[in-house]
Amino acid sequence: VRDPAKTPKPLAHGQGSTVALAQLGTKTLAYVADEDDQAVHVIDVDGGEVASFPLGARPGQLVFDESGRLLVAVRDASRLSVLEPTETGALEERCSVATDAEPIGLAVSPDGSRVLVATGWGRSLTAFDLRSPTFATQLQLTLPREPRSVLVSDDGTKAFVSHAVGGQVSIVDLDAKHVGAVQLHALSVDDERAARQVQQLHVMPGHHRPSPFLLQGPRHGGQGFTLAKIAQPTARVFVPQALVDTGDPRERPPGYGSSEVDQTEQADVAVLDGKSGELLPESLQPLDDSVRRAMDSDTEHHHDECLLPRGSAYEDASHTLYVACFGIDAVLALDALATSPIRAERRRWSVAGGPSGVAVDAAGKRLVVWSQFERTLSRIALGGPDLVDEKTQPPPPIATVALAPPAHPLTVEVALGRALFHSVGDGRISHDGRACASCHPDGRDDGLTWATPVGPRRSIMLAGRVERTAPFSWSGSEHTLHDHVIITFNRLKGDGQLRGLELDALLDYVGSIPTPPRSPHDESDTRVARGREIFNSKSVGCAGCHTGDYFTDDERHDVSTKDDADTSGMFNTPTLRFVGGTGPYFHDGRYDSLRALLSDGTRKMGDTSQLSTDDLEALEAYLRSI
Amino acid sequence: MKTKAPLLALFAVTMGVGVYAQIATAGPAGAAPVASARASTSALASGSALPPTPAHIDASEHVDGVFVAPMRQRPNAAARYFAIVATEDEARTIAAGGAVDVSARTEDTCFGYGASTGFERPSVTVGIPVPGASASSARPGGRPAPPRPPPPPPQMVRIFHVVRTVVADGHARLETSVVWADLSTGGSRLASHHTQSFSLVAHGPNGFDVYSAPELNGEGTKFLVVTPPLRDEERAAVAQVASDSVQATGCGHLEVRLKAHENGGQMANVTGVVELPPDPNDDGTGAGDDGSQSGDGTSSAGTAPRPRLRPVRANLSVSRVASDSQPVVTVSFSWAGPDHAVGSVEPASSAQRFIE
Repeated sequence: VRDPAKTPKPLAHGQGSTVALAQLGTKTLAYVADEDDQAVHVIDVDGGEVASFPLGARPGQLVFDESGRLLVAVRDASRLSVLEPTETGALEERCSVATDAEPIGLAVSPDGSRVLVATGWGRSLTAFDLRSPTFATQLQLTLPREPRSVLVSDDGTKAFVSHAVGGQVSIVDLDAKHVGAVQLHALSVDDERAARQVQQLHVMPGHHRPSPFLLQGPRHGGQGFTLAKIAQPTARVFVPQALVDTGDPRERPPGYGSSEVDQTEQADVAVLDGKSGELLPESLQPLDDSVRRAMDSDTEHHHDECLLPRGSAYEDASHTLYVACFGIDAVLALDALATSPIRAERRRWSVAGGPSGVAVDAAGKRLVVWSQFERTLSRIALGGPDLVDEKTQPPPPIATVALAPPAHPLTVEVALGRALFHSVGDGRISHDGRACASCHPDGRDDGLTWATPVGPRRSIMLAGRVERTAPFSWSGSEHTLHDHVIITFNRLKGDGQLRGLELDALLDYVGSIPTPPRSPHDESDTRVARGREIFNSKSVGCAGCHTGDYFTDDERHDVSTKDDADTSGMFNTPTLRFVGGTGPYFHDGRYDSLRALLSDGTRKMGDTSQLSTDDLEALEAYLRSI
Repeated sequence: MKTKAPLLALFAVTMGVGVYAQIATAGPAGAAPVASARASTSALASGSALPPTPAHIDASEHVDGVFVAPMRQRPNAAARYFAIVATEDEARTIAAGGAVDVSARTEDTCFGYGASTGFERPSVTVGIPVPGASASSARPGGRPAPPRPPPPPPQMVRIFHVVRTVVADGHARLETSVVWADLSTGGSRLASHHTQSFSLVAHGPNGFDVYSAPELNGEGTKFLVVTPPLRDEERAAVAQVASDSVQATGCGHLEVRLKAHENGGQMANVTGVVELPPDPNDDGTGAGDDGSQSGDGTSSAGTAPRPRLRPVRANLSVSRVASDSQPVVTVSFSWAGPDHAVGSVEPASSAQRFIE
């Protein structure tokens, strides 16, 4: 029997992260989810590593429940591990529970009765009963693509789920078991309003200028990896994200996205009402970079936006929202009560590469940040509330604890490639700060259709889809991945200087991006078996082109899908690996769902017109399994 | 809790990077305002209902702090120029062809054209066309121009507004006067005057402070950002308000009005410049962190360490999510760029650059 007085006491419970803090006597322990080592490490924040618990698979988030157990989403093994800290802080496993494919986000309900698990590839939200010895399933709901984080409203009635793609937050009524959504897209401004602003420009030259932001097209939300909330003095939920201008797909700009703007992606933090879930629309109006450049005298401040937010935490004392950002390897301190928190940045700290999680040690007045890429824990003294002149009042240096190399470390090339893949503001890759991971979060796809020089193009999932699938791109015009990446950098207006060993390292990483775990239910699903039969049948004809282990004949075909803006009607047969999680479909994203694609009666690409509803469902189930 | 008291400002005054407050919603119609705009100190009409413009103001009529200074003319100039300045000394300097050092002013006084506030500067200049100075006597082809009717005499009585900020004891007072000035006589007459009081919301670094006052309808808040005096620099500030527009000033204050209807909000990012003590590591060689040298491009080796200028930003916000009973007001500060030693090449005042 565990003696609570002698075991670590969680400093917070409720919100999942890759780092969670607990107090053991005078020590503050950080429990970190280490993807590379496939383990949970226990680190004395003021010392070094205390213990390590191997998971045997990549973890997602971890969270303490109210009884002090540490719940870990074991992402690649599709299970929830229940660990218990001992009197030394080390961990022992008590049990584990099977989940849908790829559990990532965790949250414990305010009453401590259940844990919510958001699965990435499984697209589900499951509630497990923490007071049941078997962790009985209380709730299971299907969600849109790529859930990442989940939190529960303070009254326990709603769950908010962020999504890496799709620009939305799912809002789940936990009592009614209903899934709703709030769209996080910034709308374009009507022409009349823009015209009015231009008129103002002439009325008050030098004083009133139309914001370029208002003259742009709509922007899509994305990169919803993390969530945070406050309860007092106002109930709000924060969704750090990026807003993306994909351009008009009817046009052929010289690069990816609109040629009218110089800032294709903007950092943002969407604000929702923590009770009703309603969006505060003005939170989708980040400060335009061109305005910021004009207002700042710091000319080196460009392209350092948080385009890849990965972790967040809220601090009550100063109403500060901390956001950990991949790509710029920084933690931002934002005024959480601001209409648009991203426009109210108080300060930022540079931390070790790949900060995936941040936690607040309120008593110690410090932040604890876990950086996955460098496997380093950073300890940041928050200091007082004043804006400090660092030259006359130098802040204490950021203390770090670097972990020993894991048993099976990434190769140097893959580690370098991962850093490059996520690098924001690298002029070798893009002129506007975009990283590879901007369009390929977690090495997958952003779900968006971009305006490109050859017509509208859906981003393609990379993980598990680049080996043995040549030629590359929708047009199939590049026979090596190397050539395709060079063309991509050109279209992003990178300066072409990323080459040699670094380019090789990037390609190594792209080839090694972890693939989503398979659903544990697929093999036993009779519908999947039936769907396989249909897929391979000559009457339906899918396997004619989507053939072999990689489901492609490596050829180009004209299947009458040419769009007005397309320069050619010939398209490369895409691999169907992981096709179930990559919608919308076709090169121009014309089909929102697999079912919509399969139900189309054009017969230009296989013939599903004779299939019954059951057979369509079976075919869809099979496609989701491959 | 929904407060029924009308317009009670609950601002906390905090020295620091952030402060928030909630403002009660407006009370019943007719309720007396608290901590809101005070009635005009003058019996004269408000700016929206001004008396007719007088045709002439005698030189003996004068409004304190408003001086008309005829500027030195170039021979055959197409216009005569007049400056409106704050002191008699400044007027004399202008008339003698000199330039006014507004940083020497003891009061933060600014002028703007017309009766509506906004876009104030430390002084304003008016040009009056010289009759016949730019008229052409011949047309292409050699035919004489048809006779033109004589132009109407130029309007010599012009309307301006004068804004003065008075800061004391955690409060700021913004005094706005609308004034007619007769450029021909130098006389001036008050058209209207009113005073708005603000409470200190947040101290920024070195006197870059934010004051606020709720607006009468309970949805909006007026902010007054007061920028500290700078040696040899104009106290410029620029505000990006929401994403709609940019406001700018060359004065020591900038007024921003933000509204938050239900499930809505507005923000402004106000950038100005503050002076900081010398860098303790400044060895006096004139080479700062950025490698810059003194303003004239020469080395200033051996000089005393120089104070620094650094852009600072106040982030102002009023917002109200659906479940908020009152708007949430917050102010936070951040540095808006690196510092520069006074006199270094890089202009510290980005706000000025933006205005220009």
